[in-house]
Amino acid sequence: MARKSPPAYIELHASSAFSFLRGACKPEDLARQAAKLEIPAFALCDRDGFYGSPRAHHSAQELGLKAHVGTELVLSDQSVVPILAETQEGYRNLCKLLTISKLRSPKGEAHIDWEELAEHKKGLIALTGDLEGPLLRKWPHAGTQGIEAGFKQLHRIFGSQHLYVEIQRHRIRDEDIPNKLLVELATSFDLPLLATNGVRYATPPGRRVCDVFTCLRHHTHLDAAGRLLQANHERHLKTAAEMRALFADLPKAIEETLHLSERLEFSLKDLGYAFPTYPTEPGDNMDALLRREVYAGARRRYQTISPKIRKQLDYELGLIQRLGFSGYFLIVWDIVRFCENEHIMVQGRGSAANSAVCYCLGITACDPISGKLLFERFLSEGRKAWPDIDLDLPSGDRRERVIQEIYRRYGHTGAAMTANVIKYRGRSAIREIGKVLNFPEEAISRFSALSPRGDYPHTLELENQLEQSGIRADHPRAPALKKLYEQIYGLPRHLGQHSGGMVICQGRLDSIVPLENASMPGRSVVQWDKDDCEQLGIIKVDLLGLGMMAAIQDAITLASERKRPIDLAKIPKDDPATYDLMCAADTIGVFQIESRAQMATLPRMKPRHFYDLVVEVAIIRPGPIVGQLAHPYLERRAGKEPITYIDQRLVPVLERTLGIPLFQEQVLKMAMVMANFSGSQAERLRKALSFHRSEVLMNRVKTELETALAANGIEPEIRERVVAAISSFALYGFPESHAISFAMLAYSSAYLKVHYSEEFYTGLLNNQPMGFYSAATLVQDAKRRGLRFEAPCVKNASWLATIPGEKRIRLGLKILKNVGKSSILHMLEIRDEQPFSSIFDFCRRTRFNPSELRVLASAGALNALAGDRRSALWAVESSSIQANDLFNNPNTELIETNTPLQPMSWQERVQTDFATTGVTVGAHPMRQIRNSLPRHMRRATDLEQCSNDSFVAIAGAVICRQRPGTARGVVFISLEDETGVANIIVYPKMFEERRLTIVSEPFLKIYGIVQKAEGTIHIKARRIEPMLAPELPAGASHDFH
Amino acid sequence: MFSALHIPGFALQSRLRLDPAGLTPAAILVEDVTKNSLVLEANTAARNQKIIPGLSSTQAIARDPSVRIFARCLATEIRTAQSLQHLCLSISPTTEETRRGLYISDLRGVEKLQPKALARHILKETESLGLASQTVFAPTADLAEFGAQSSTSRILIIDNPQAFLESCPTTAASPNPELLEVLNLWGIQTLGAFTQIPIEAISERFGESGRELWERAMGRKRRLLLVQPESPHFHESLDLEYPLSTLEPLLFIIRRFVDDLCRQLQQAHLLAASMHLSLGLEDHPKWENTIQLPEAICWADTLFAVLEKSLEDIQMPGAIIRISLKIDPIEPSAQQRQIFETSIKNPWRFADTIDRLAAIVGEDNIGTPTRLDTHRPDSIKLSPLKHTLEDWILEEPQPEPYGPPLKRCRPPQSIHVSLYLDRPSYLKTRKLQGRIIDTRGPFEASGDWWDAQFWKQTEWDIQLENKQVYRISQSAKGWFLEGRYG
Repeated sequence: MARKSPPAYIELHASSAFSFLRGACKPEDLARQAAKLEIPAFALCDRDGFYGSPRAHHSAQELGLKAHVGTELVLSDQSVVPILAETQEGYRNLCKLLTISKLRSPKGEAHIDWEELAEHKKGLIALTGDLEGPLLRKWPHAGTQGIEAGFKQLHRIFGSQHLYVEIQRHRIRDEDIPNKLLVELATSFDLPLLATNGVRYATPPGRRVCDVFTCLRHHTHLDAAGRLLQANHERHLKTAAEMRALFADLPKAIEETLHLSERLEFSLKDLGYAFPTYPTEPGDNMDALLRREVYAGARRRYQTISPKIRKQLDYELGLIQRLGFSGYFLIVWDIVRFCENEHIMVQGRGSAANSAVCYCLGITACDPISGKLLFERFLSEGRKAWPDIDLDLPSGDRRERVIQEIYRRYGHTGAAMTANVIKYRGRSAIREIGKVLNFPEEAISRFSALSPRGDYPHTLELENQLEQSGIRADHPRAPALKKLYEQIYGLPRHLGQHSGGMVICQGRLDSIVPLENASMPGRSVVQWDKDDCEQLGIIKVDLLGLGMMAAIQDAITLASERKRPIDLAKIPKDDPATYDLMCAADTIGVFQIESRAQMATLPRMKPRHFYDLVVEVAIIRPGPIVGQLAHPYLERRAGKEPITYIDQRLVPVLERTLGIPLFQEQVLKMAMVMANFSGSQAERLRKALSFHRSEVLMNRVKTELETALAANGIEPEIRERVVAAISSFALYGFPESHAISFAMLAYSSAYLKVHYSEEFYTGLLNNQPMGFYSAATLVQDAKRRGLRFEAPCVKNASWLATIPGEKRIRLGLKILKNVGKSSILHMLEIRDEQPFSSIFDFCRRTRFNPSELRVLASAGALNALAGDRRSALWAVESSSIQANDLFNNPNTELIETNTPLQPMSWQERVQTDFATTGVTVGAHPMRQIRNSLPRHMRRATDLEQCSNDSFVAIAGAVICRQRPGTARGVVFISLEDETGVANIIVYPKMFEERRLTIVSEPFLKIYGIVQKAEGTIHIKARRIEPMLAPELPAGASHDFH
Repeated sequence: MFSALHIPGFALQSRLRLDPAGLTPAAILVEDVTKNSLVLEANTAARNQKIIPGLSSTQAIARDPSVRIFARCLATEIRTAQSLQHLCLSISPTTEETRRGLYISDLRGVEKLQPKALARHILKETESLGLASQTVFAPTADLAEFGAQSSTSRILIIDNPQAFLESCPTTAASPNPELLEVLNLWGIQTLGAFTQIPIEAISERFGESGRELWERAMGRKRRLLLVQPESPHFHESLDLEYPLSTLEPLLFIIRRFVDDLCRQLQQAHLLAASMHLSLGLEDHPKWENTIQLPEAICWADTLFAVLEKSLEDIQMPGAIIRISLKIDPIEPSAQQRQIFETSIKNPWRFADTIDRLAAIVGEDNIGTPTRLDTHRPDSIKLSPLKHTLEDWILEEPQPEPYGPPLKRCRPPQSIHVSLYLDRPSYLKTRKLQGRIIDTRGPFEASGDWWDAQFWKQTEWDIQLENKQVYRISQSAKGWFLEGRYG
């Protein structure tokens, strides 16, 4: 960037909001402000880590600035020392030091001993710090002697060469005296004096946020915080002129910032990260090994390797070799082999599915050559960053085994999970700000209650939401609340753990980035999120848990046990019954196509081939919906709109999606065909499409594309359309390969639902919670498909649900609420030794406590031993049973079978079923109250007979509420009754009128207009009321995805 | 005959007593308003909106967006319970507080009281306390309790115990939660159904607690009420037969109250820490005054003198119809001093002097200056003067002051300041003017940005040609001379 004058000041002590509850802006804000103020470099020194450093580094890089790397270390005596990394060795020392302290401390804390700091001092530069530093923090109590004592401690470690006396001026009256002492100290020890502004926020308004965070840190509010708050708003980035004026009497302190900045040679581009190499035999190498394994795999996959296949494999292998990625592919292949050996289902997803190498190595399951997938989407000549291979694994224990295997292989300092930055969002921001502004708890709770399952920014403005919470716009503090909300929204709040991203390293990862304990035992987490890691070239392997993978794997195992084995690789891809199920939108429980939006599209889409399903998976996505591509595609598919192309040259690219670009691969190909984009240009386009954070990058590529199109002689109108089509993918692009991977699972699950329904539902039930629907809804859905369910029973049920026979499923004992797993597993063990002869035998030999026995009896799990639930309840309360004293009272059994209690009624059984298991194997609860409902209240199946536009009333259990971001505030409710599921559309006005009723009532009565179109039936809600009946159990819905 | 006084939704009603609008709109009680906690109690208006205990507060708001949510307040519950106990003790000395909000009285010996008339009296009294109540009369204490727990009518007289128990819900007998859970699972909803089960079977399953419940459910058990001696309240009140409009008779009654209360205090070995005098006035709101005593004492003469003084020069807007005097007691040991601590010589005289001064300069202009916890310069408040010497010692040692002392102008004087290159260069006041030869500053401070009282002040230390150093400030109101150094 062009500068008007030579650099005159560099801020070397700045904090961002990654100094949690201290700093008050994003690192990116600091970089932008520094650029605006023509400050050529700054050092980000967040508390106890480098959380914000990658963002500062990249923003600075984009703006032509330099971001030095530093941190504020909290020592064991609570003094805070700002440390700057002078060299790579220094940075690594800091990482190790932070890791040591973080791994031994509770989350959010890290206390370092002075001796440990001394051991890791090489390559580091220390500043004496601000009021929390070792010098000034002692000043109020110990005066000059305190300052000297703190100084000696630092000087002993860093000597004169690596220690700077830091001086800050914030226009506060009391700061002059200690500052004078600091100047004297620097002079007498001949140490450089360094001016900093101890920046906590980029611009003056950030002081407000800083005050709010101070209150939160001290658990107080603004009215009571007093002098804990900032005295003024001076701790912002200042121009060189401002700083020079402030330190007019100490010009050397300003000059020193320039000298020190020059001295700091380390930046994050010198991270020195290396991905592990794959071990090979002596005389062998990774490239050769990869080639051998790929060709071995190709022979298994294709049997005969055609010239076309060979050409593609050689092309891919050549590129992989040139880019130095062979080790990476071998390591991922090794993880996949581990999964296969351990019988853990694994499937690569994402752009890896575009690679024939990945297909041959068994990493992905779809053939990119026959699918004509674009390899450049995965890897191209110009690529510098590592390719992205995500592995889908069955969620739960099986995925954890794979994660632990990686820890085992690379050590706990060689591998860690990536972080997930939790940010302030609507409710959390208002709660914190409201507390600090001293708003009544009732108002804050009411605000939260308005959005019980997340934020809904779509239809309710903040002012209205506040008004509904009892905070009127003319409240004296409402403007401050609103302003703070805008400032705080999106700032980092704390660090979580990413669900599956793991980073591994050749050597020690703890010298690349500090590691911390994750909340899950046995896991550690790095201080950066996946985007930060990717931008710094740290390779991550995403080990994502999919409930559906676990369910499918369980279903396959069950099918095999039932002597009807199934190989998903060999199931017919054009099974008419499976496609009939999809066309009828009978897809509850089916992967990816069970949402309301998917179910509404399926009858229009009428999928009959696998690629239709790929499109179906991809089309109900924000990208195609926002880009208004979904509707034209469906219209063309239905023959209602002619199939046209932006340009005839795009026919081969777009013909399988009827002229509409739906996938990222198509967008890349369009750029290659129309603009003659090279591999590296395509790579930049890919990054711009998939990297959500950079608008700058997207705009840069857009300009490049426009220029290339013009150079290629494309007419302006077509140019515009091509650019528009590509731009619509900027935020939500969906790769074709990803859609294919998902479609394979979707097809497999649909196929299982049709042909292996017992196994399918059993698999789903054993892996709850997952998907869109609760176990109760899955049971009702299965029953509509003719399956019968047996309640969990201690005589013959297992821990998991099982299949006792044709069209029958026996619920597992796992489903019982408030019964310990260990008690159940012990019971199963002793049952295997000898079956229970009576309820007394059962109670004598098991370890259930009285409360667990009550649950078992209530749920009917003891019926096989006691006759009915009430008899069981009567028996388990017997003192002989409770005292396990049955031998002394042999006649108890005879006496106790004569229960004076009445058997449970049907209604009681349903209520108890829901209370003890959350599902009922009996009739739907709505059947109980059907007779008490007015006759005009329709059932779900009755809607087919209703004419379009007729006014109807319907009642049922809310099984799903959805408010897709793309639906402009429209809410979709699925209402289940004894006959099926009715689909309700609630428009924003109605939603706001009845918001809490909709989000909190388990059963609803809805009045509205029937809308029938292309095989789908919806009710447009006109009136919504809670349905209150004592017979109805508390429901469980799965809401707001 | 036994009577039961029951306050349905006692905790909520206690809370609503503090809220003038509480009785009419829908209101619920939760344990803690900060969380989405469950509804513990709901008033009738809330129940009419289908808001019942056990719902989440979110669901409650869904059913009635205007519902008011209150958190439990133990202190108000205790105060309400004391009032109710007092009411019941005025009817029968043998009164049991079965639990908060339920009081059972043994009416044997006062049979001449007609149940209905008594019930009306109780209802009226509880209404005056701002509470809706139920009254039950029954031959046994348990039946009275069951009736109170199960009935929704305001007055219930149980004259056929057998028929009543048959349909009485099991919850009325307040079984322990575990037992109640089992009875629910068994489908046992009434005491009648419960007693159908043989007592041996119940006894075997639930031991003594089950057996006791069974016997209570049969209505046979005659238990003794657990009567607690009335704790002294140090409270005297009198509803006057004729309104008072002169001071003498009022002081006469107050003197009697003071004598009685001091006697009670002495018996309880306590001292008076403060007094609360309340005078009910005809056609006007009551007049109230709380007097914090300078030193805890138990001397009737002194206490009376203080009260007498507090009534001097007070013009009541209406005639007095009710007098109430309450004393807050305190343990003598709480006032004991450390060996080197001393009280001022005569706190009473000191207090008297202060009161006289306050009468002249105004109450807001007398006290001990205390620095406010704010960055705003020269922010002090006047705290009430303490009567013991150790309280006057500063709470925390202040850092040693640097530089010459500042003689402050209070209030700061408005001045004119000219600037040169953003720094003060010339100062002019009514008494002082001159060229500024040196400056130090600016010192910036601001605060209360979240409120309308937002303030911002910039200070400078300046030296005039006469070598005098001053502190000046600039705020939204202009330039001010804050003081002179030295």
